[in-house]
Amino acid sequence: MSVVWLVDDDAAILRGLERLLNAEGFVTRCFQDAATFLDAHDPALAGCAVIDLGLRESSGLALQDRLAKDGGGRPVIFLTGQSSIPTAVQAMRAGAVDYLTKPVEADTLLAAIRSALELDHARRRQLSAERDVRALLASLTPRESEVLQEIVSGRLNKQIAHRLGAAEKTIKVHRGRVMQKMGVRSVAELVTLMSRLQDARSA
Amino acid sequence: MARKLPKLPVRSLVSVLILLAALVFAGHAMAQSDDTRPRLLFIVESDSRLPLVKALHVEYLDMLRFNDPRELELNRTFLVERYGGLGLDAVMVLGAHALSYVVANREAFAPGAPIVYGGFGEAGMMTALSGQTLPDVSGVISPFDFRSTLDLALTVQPDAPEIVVITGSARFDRQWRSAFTSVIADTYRDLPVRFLPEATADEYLAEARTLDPGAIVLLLSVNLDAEGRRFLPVQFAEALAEASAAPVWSLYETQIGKGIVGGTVEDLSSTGREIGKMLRTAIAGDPLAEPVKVTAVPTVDWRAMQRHGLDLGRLPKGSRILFYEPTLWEQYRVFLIAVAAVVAAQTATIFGLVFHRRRYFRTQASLDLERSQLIHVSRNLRLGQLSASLAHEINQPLAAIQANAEAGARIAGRTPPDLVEIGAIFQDINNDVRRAASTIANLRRLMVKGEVTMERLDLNEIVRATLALAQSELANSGVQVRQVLSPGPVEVSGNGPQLQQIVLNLVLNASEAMDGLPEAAKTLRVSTVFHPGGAATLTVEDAGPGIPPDQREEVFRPFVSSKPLGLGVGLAICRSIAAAHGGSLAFVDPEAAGARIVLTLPPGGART
Repeated sequence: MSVVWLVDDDAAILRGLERLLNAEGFVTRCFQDAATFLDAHDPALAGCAVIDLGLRESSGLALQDRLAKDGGGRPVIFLTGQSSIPTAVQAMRAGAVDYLTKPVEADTLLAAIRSALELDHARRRQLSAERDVRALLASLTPRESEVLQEIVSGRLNKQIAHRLGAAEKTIKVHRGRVMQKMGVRSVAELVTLMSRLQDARSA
Repeated sequence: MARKLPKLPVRSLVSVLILLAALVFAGHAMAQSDDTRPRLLFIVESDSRLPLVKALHVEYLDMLRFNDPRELELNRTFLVERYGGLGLDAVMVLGAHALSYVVANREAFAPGAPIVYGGFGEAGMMTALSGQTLPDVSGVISPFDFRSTLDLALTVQPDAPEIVVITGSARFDRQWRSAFTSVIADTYRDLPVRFLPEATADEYLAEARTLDPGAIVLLLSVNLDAEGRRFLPVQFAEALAEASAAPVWSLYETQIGKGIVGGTVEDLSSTGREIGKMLRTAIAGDPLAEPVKVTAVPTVDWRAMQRHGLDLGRLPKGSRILFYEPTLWEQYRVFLIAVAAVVAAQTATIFGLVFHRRRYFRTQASLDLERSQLIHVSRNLRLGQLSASLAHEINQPLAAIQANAEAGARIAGRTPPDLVEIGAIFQDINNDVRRAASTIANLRRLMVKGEVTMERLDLNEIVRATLALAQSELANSGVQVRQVLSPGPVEVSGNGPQLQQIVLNLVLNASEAMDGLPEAAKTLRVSTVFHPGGAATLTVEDAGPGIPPDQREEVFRPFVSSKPLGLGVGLAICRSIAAAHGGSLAFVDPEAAGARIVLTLPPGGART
């Protein structure tokens, strides 16, 4: 179950947003300042954050920095009372999924929240897939890992044997083990699996 | 000389002549001893009503009244008895008949004495000497010429309908009549001449009253009227001139000044001068010169001219105008010019001062206006600075209201709706509306433009309202504000927006002064104190770098700003507002680091 984390120093707005989101069926957690929010924040929980950049933009952006570092990539929607292009650019560049100017239409906000939650969901799915691949990789012996890298690079058994200084027959055995441990039946499948990991890393 | 004549106490031909003769003599006579003094006999044809100088021997023959041979013989006996042995040096004779008498009898009472004569004209000469030239007899011949007088009258009265001539019934008067009628019959220069027949004085006067005012009246001589009344000619002239509707002209200068308009007459002063000269020659024993003919001068009485409305401009060139009463302007021209100059200078000064004063007030008014506009502009600049945070101040409640309203709509759509929650939502919406409204009200109070009114205010309220406006801005800058307000209201009299402007300026200045400091150090203290005397102070202290004592006045000068984009009028305006409230605004020594500025407002507020 996803949680929408609401941070706004204005109690009235906080209460209004909380009511709106609750009415739409979202689970919310509300905070009036950045410090309290960071204390309570659990990156493991699915969901997104709606943060009022507040008057003090530095504090809003600083909070975003903290989230990016320790927040497990929590999607952030910024609300601001005073929209300024430099602030918006800075916020988006730092990874905000949206930047909305108050007062904001409920539908706009809700749509932004939904897409942020979807993003979070997708991210979490990928993260879990990544974790699975890493767990499979961890089960390989060092020699099997070396052979895996060679296979993914598209080399033949004969070439691999030559590069690793082993008999072609031995490489053939390692290859069978790798395919088995990684749970794939073809080289193509193996490459797809590994490329997901590569993507995650470069993302 | 002419001007002085009216001042003489006695105006008569004889007196003037004698006075002048005596004056000419004086220097000569006093230089000599008693024995060598000249002996002079004046023989006067007329009577003794003519006053004469006593120092000389004067005899009046009174020949107009006593002219039968017996009287003349008596006179001769008297003169011989009285003067025969004196050895007279000269005899002065006035009058033609007297001259002929003296010439005939000179050897009896003044043997060898030269005779100087005067007081008659050419005609008289003929009467007296029958055209003879005698040794030791000479004098001055007066110009009694009615023609030139008539010419003058015609020049001045060109439109006269007639000439009316009057003369009396005495022998002398009748001589004038015959002299006149022998020359002029019925007309003179195409103008009818009417010689009034001999009549009584009253008849003459009555006739004169009925004359056409444009007529010319020529008075020859009236010594005696038809009923035997005697006159001095000058007396009659005066009466006639007064009665006559028309201007009266005369042949004698002595009559001009008695109402006679004028005439072409001798100038008696020059006649007297000539007689005097001749007498000196006679006394010195030198041979007498030829008789001197005095020329007649057109002469008028200015007053009489005025009375008859005659135009001075018509007078021939060289005319004498007697009794001229100069106008104020003519008489006191220099004085009047000086007075006028002084008055003009004063007027100019007064106008200058009035103008200056008006300009001063106008300038003052426009300065006041400009100052109030400047105050307003400066205030708006400050508010502009706050605009972002003020927009936020209004935006926040709006955002809350919107969120609540959207939530409320959704909750209301459920079955069953959570009415308790909906009630809470409406309560919150209401609160937020109030919040936005109060921000706007605060703002509008500060932005009010127009008449600056003074009212009783609570300085604490001013501080609170201003800090509420600046709150977002201050928070945004990370400034912590501490309000240390006097308990209870701090009553002052003043203009709310202007006082708020001071507070806003001081607070924002303080905040800006702390820009470079770490957030924890950014503290701002605003305090009010209500002093026992009724004065109130507002103190704003910051933790910034402070202002060196020698700069504390400099910063109040207009266009002095430490801020790169500052206009530098904020503090100058604040001080002028404080001054307009009868108060003061100045930096004082801070308790710690930073700047400390104090606004003092007088007890009971201020003048407007």
